[in-house]
Amino acid sequence: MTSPISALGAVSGLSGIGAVSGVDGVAGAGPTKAVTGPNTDFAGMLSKGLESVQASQTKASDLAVQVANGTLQDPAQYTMASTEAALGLQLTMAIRNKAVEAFQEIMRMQA
Amino acid sequence: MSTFNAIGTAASGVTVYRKWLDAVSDNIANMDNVSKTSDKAFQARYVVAQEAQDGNGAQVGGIAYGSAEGVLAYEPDNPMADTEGYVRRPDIDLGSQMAQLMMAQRAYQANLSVVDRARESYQAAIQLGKG
Amino acid sequence: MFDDVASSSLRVAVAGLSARQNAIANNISNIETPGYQARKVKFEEALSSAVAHGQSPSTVSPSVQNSLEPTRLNGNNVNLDEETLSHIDTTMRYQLTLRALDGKYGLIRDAIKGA
Repeated sequence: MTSPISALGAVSGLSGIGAVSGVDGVAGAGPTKAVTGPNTDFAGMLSKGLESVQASQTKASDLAVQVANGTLQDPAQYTMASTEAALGLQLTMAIRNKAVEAFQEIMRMQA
Repeated sequence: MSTFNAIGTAASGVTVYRKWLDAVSDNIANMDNVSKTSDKAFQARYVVAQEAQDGNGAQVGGIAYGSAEGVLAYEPDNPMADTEGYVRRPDIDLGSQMAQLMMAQRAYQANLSVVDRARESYQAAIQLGKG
Repeated sequence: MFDDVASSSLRVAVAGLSARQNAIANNISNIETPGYQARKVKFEEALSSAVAHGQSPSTVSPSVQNSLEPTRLNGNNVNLDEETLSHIDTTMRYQLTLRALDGKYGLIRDAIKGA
């Protein structure tokens, strides 16, 4: 654990990102494999997660327009998409906060 | 298709059965009309229901009319009677009209129950994810 | 921050649905008024076409038209069952639209709080 970035991969909260992206293998990524495994590139994982959050926001927005002009087929589709978008954003926030916390923790260790 | 489609579908049924109720009550109101034998008798109206064009619910396809001949009744004292003492009365059977009235009423209520149930389901869908 | 297509469409829809609720209340109060023509509020088509043509939805405003339903003997054409069902539909759409707008604001609130 020389670089602070690879240390971030060990943050246990990150396995939750699988819930956002649905990408397999993320939850199984242990801290030791983090350096070598193909699925554990932290930046890639994070950007995939963010893309998926972005996609759920776009879907919720599209359905919101359908709510407005009355063409929505099923109200549950919107409420589900909206909830997913909100949870995705909250999860992103939680991960970011955890990551910043971990980074600060490491910075304090080095000081 | 709209957002709360089940309500629109049930609403189309409600409209059909309202029109049927109107037709039956009109038939019953006019069942004792008397006309001269030279005129037409009151013609009972029958609502013809069919599936809606867009496939969502029912609609009134048209109106069928009962016999214009009616039935001839021997009522020599009636001022409308012809020289042989006959008048023309509509050929409406009260029993059949009452049976139709009940069917129309029950179907109207059934469609309104569908609205209620659908509304409950949709309310649940709207509340989804809230608390 | 609040002028994306979805948010402005939702605000137009809230205004339109509110106008429709008023029109329905008016129609039901005038159910026996001789010569009264039921009023219908429309905004969905205008809103859809504005969104489809990339125009700003906020330029759309609801339009009120007289109903073309056949009139009764007293010249009135309000149908109580139609109005009641439309009222239920409008109430739920109003709730869903406000819910959607609340969702949009909620995302911004979450982003600001950052927690």
